[in-house]
Amino acid sequence: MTETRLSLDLQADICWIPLVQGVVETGAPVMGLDPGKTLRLALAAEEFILHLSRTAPGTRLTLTLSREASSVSALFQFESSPEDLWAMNLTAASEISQDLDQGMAHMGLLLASRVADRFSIALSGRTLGVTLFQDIIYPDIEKAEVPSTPLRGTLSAQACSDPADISHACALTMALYPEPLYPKSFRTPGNIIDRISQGRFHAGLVKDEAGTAAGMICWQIPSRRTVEFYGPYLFSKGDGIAQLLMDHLINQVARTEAITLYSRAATPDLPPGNFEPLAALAYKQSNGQKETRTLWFRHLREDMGCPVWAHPVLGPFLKGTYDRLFLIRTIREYKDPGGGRPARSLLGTRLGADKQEAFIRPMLDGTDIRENIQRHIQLLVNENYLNLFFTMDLSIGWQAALGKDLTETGFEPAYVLPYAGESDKVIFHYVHPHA
Amino acid sequence: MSTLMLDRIVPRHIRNFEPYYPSKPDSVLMSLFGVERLHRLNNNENALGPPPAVHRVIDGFKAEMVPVYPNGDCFDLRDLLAAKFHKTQDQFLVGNGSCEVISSVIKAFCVKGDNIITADKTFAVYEWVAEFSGVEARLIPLKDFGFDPEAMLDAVDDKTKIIFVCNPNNPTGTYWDRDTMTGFLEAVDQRCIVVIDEAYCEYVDNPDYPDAMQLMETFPNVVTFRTFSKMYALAALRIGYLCSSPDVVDMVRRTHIVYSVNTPAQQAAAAAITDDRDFILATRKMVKEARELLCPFFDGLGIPYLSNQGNYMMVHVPLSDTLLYRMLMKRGVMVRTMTGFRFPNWIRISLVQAPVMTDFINAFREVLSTAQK
Repeated sequence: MTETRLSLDLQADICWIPLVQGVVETGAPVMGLDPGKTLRLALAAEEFILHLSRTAPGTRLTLTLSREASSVSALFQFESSPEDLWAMNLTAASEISQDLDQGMAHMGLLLASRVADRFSIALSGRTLGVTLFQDIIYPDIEKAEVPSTPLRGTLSAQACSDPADISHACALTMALYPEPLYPKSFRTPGNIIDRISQGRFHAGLVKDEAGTAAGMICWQIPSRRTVEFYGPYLFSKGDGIAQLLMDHLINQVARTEAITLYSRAATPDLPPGNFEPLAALAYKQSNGQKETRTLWFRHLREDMGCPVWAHPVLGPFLKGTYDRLFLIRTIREYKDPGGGRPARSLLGTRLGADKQEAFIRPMLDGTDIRENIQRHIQLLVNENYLNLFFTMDLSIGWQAALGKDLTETGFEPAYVLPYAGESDKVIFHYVHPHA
Repeated sequence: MSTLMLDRIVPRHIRNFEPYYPSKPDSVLMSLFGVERLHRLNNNENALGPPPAVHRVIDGFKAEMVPVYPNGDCFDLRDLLAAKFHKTQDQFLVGNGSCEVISSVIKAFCVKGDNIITADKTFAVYEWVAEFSGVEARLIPLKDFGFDPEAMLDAVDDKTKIIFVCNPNNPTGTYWDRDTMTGFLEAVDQRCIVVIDEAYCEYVDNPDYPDAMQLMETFPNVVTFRTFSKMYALAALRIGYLCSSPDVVDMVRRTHIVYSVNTPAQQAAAAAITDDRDFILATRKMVKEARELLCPFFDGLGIPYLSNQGNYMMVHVPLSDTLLYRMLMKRGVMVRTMTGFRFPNWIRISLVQAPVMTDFINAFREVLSTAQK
């Protein structure tokens, strides 16, 4: 699949809204988005321009429409104060509705963030990049019947990008493994196939000499120095299938920039001796029970150590973790330097299907961040999300400083993911007060 | 908005190439891991240090010589090499470590669209230089831990310009004997250059080990790489060389940077190869004694290992090699993890003096005991 992107340089003015609508409505279907989703993306883009026209008229901006693996995105790049983005908080609707006069200016932003399937924000110097995503819809598949024919001849592992092989392997996985052990996108393998074709997702299959699939391993690269894997999934009984899959995975990523290889949902077929336990997480289930899941990781090369920022309240957790994992870190206490801290913060929230999980990450600092965290907790608990996670990047001082706010609002540090950011990330798990 | 659009400037094959970050200096590592001494068993260095003649060269190097450029193409050293190997001076090119001559050879023979052939689990620099030069690296799986001649021949096509054979192979220590190498060269039939990397040749004393210096008399497409880093312990000076037929060297010379080898390196290398017999024997003895300590130790633990040629051995450890590395570093022992060589959960250990090997054994035993708790 070739990369397609459209770019438009313009000014924040309502007179350009029809043009922006036209670009999205014409371009997104060519990039594979269905009509309904195209309209939603066009609406989100329109609302975003409307917001900028009201809050920062005349601002020069670039709109880039592009196909990104299994989604189409609209990226807005402009110079602006990030403070204006507070209305993209998941909780902003109630604030705006309470003060319509003050909130109307931000209504467009609120709508844009709600109409999009996801959004992300990046700040580079004074340039702000806001990306609105619409995910492409793919057809569901059924579970496959598990074959009973024995494997023949020598088994070998190979990279897989054949749509039929991938679809069949996803269907076999669904038949043989419970849902938490495979990504939801296995139900819609077209998504996987598109992401593989763009190098955003990877799959390895072990086959016998007759070409029968005996197992699969999958992985993706969520950040520059981490690789997350899923599996190993075994479709047949046979010695060494799991180890062949693991060797294939490790050999494929061993000479990349990645340092940490991890899984949040490895199957029980993970062969021993390859990975280190990172943490045991108690996931709350919809029936009120808790299920413990072990997170596994390994490094792909020698650990050279790195500095991390931390609030003192996290010191014992970090020291204990680093000692247990033999990781070399210089823990630096972050002290607020004072000065121009914005008033309003922004938290990004990714909501999992079936309300099993919600992931919060800090996007922009602000003096209201503690209250913002509390508002998010309240909303997500009221919406009956079972497991709330908060991700903190220890290479970013202001994020590390949130340790106290998080622990005082009900989060507990659950695990450290080495090198998930410039240094490590800490993932916090919300402990329900009545749990 | 003034943003440097690197995507438009940088070729795709460079953008897709993963940069290599070498390890931090020992002093930093010692501070980070909280140890007061560090046994370096990760780089296959000769722990005996260089031959005595090299000490005299280094000690005698005067500050007055620093402002003067080195000889641009290592004239004196190539003269000595020619005499030692019964060749002519124009058959040698000296580089800033053999990594530089790898780069020169690939630049001389390959353009985008060509390919090189080597093994998947061998010295990584052939693959790296090819890839960041926009040249396809065809990586043939090892067979029984050795290069697979049939599979390599099967991979040759009309775009194949160079085949790299690491003999003995780093890290497995396996080698092609004279018959295998000769048969391979005959089958290649001059269709491309065959580089025989003999970085560890001085450690091999088996009678069936082929000498590329002799083979190139029959097969003018043979290029051999040798280094002063491994046996002669000049790693800090960065000096290596290639030797081939004059016509081949004449082509490589066109892409080879002159003045890249400094004067102390040239003089030390010249000193090292003059009367080196006793030094080589002493080093081989040290390596043999180290093997005699380590092999029974791993046998006793039931841990698989490869102990072939070279001043190193590989061990298949029962835990993640990168975890083992961190645990050993906490005890002041640095080994090489092999995941990066596509041998997950193997480590490579340099074979050095017995007291250091004993320290390694003690540290390894402790670490294994901790990991198994």
